[in-house]
Amino acid sequence: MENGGGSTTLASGIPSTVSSKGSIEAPKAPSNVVAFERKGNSAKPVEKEAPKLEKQEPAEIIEFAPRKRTNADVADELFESAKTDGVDKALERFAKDEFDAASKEDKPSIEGETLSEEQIKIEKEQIEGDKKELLPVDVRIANLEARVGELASENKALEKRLAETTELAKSGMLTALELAKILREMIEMEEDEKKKKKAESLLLMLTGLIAKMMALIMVPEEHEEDALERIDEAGKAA
Amino acid sequence: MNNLTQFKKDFKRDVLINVVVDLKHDKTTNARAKSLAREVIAIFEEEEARTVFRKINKLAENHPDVLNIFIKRAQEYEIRQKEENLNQVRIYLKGGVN
Repeated sequence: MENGGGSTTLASGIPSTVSSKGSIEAPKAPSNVVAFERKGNSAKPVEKEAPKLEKQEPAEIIEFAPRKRTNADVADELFESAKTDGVDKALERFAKDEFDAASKEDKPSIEGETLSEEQIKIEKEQIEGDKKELLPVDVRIANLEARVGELASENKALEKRLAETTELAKSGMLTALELAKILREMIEMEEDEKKKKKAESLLLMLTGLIAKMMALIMVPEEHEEDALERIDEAGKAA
Repeated sequence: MNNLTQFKKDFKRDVLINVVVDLKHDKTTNARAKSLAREVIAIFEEEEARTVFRKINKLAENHPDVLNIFIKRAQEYEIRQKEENLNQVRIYLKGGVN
């Protein structure tokens, strides 16, 4: 053993160090030595087993699929858009799938992926199914009721118009009858030499009136037969 | 603002609110809501009131909510229209129109 410090080997065979003060410091075990196994006078260091480096398979990578946009998300976006851009713009954007386009960017896309005809058909069927589901019977009945009501009101309006037309036709007939009577009187007046001049001017006026009357009572084709019958009846009555 | 323009504006706003609420509560599908939005936009491209009302009435056959909106907004339209007509009569009686 040296006085100035140095290294020595103990009887056990374990290398030890002697400090400058002369004390023997406990040997520092190598980092891989965890214990000493005693065998008679010697101690054999028990080395820590090095961890076996097994070839590990890479940990399974869990891919989190992008959260599917729910209807509620779309609703929120639509509402926000309405607040910022206005109702018209928001509705147009919604109708043009602009909100969906934004969501499609998030989704992993498969190149060349297209919807097959079958898929399109299924989607269409789903939409149709939704339509049917969302229209309960009572609502359908209410709709029908409203339509029948509308038809009834239109029918009333039509009846009113027809009544007015009949009234107008009746008044037209009476006026025409009056004109015909005056015409007869005028012809008689014309035969009288004294009243001839006056009768001529009156006849002229009368002809004008008759022409105007004819224009007024022009009857549409669909009512022509009915009108002719009425004219015949009026003629017979006269 | 024109009476019909006002009607269109109110109607669109109501439809949008309905769509938002229905989507939020899953009462309708996205496709159906979109189809409704498209149809409403197409109808409101019309300028003639009678045509607009006829088309909305047709649309309401498949959309009960639209029928409710239509009933509400059409009544308001009628009131405004009456007021407008009465105003014209007032002007006429005062001799404002030749």
